Amino acid sequence: MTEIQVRLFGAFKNFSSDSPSMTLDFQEPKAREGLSVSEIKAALSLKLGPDAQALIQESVLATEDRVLLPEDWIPSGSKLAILPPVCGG
Amino acid sequence: MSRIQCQVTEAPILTQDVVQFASERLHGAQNFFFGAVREVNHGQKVTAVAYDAFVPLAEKVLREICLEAQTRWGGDLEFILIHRTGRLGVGEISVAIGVTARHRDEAYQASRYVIEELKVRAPIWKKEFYESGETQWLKGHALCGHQVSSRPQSHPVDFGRE
Repeated sequence: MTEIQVRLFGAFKNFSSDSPSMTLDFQEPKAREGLSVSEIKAALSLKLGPDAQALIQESVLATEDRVLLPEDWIPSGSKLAILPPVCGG
Repeated sequence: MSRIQCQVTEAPILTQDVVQFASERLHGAQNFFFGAVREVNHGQKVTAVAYDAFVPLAEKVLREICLEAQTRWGGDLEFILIHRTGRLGVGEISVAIGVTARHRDEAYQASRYVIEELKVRAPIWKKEFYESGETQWLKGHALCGHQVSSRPQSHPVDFGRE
């Protein structure tokens, strides 16, 4: 089994007020092969519940360095962030 | 080397720090923009705002926006950008942009470019607190994976594994 950590920002904090991040567990062989963006989003949907679905759909995954592309492959053990639509300024 | 200073911080923004940065370069045009928490938004009376940010990526995106502005309006332009995080009261400064350039036209245009791009690209979120006691995370602009900050890099991507 492996873990992917996902930090939550903005409106995602409505779904997890007690913790700013989620730990997602994945079984073999995913743990070995790595994961797709959509697999991580699906796991996050399960954890956060149906009310978070729409927000997850319009959000992106990112590292501290860049926003991930749909075709990116994510190694197990990664630390990611899920970024809802932004509104700074 | 033209300076670009970008900071996302919970510390209050001091206007004199922003002005000081710009005055260190003897450019003829110094343009400042300060954004503050407004009292009424969409008809609701606001009592406070809380900003959340993914700080490392936000600072990187802000820097990229400044570099784009340099490409467009001149490599000698200098920038200071500060964005707040945490809870702010009405009237408090949430964002500061200082641009110095040889002439006003570039300074105005680059400053406008930076604030407009920041609003749709920087991973920063705003929650409003209303007089009614309600709160709301404001709707925003969806990021997409094909912006500058996510263009494939020539170096391996660090996924933050320990």
